[in-house]
Amino acid sequence: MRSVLKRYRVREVHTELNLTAMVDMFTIILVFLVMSTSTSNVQVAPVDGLTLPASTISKEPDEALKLVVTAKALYVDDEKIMDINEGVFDKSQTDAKDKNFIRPLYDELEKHAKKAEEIQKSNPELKFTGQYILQADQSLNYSTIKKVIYTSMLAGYADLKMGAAGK
Amino acid sequence: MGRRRLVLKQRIEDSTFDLNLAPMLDIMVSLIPMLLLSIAFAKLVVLDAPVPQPVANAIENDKKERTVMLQLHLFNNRTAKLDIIDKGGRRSNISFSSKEGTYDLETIHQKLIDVKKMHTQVFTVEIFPEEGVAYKEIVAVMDEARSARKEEGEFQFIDKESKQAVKTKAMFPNITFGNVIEG
Repeated sequence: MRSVLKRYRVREVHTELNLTAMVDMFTIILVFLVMSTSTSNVQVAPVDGLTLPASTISKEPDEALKLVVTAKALYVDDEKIMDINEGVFDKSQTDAKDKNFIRPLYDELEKHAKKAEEIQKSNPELKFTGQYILQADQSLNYSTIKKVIYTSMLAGYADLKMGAAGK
Repeated sequence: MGRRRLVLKQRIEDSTFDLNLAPMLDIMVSLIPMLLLSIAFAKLVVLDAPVPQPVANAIENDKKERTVMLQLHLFNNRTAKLDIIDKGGRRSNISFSSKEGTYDLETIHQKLIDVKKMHTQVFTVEIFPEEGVAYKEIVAVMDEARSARKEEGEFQFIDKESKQAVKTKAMFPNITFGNVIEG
């Protein structure tokens, strides 16, 4: 009698986790993630105050120097190099004789250009092309962007690729 | 009769089985963190806009046989002007008024199509934005100039090397900033 009762109790506690619902959920998440996985060489680092303008172009960028300009700061390869006052460069940051020339940006880009040229010497396959990707906030005026492009050009970066958000 | 039903029920019960979902779940649990790390919520695309070096520009201009030069001026009051300069230096222009406080992108696009139809060998347009023009507006104008839309057909030109007719949707994919070097 006791053994029968014991067997009955064991049967009663035997339960099985139903994984079907969980697999369903994971399948949906997996599809979403696969669709939105980036295969691009260049990643967009989230920067405060950066909203890229939308463009119909679908060309993906190649690896190049990243230059990010917002109304508040200027970054070269994810490193903040100077502050900007609501899209306006301070007079101390620009050259007295040439208002389009931004000294701190030029110095930083020159460093990068020299580094790239040194790499090219040791490995001729990695040629310095002067290519860079400009990621500027959509609300910035051309006066700000023009100064950045102009200074970059003088530092040897003349091949501008303008970053935009794909539609 | 009763026995037959019992046998049939027994067979049906025998043919059902539970799929072991644990390995599938294991794969998913491994894949999801990996995909989460590589997810891109914003897709970056690029618009080519090479800026010619002053000297290189002069050399290139000497080398290049530019039959027609197109200069698109974007003004602060959201009007625009397209200058068409032929080889002899003759200049004609098309003016665009603003629309709802911004550039009339549709009219600019249509006029650029007309210009492209007249000069199919030209692929370059220089843009001259004034200082108050927003980056967003420049990109929008560049989008309009770059290529024709699906329903607008293609442009045919003769390839100089192969002498073959080539069709393309591209209008002015080579867009440069003309006033970066100016003071």
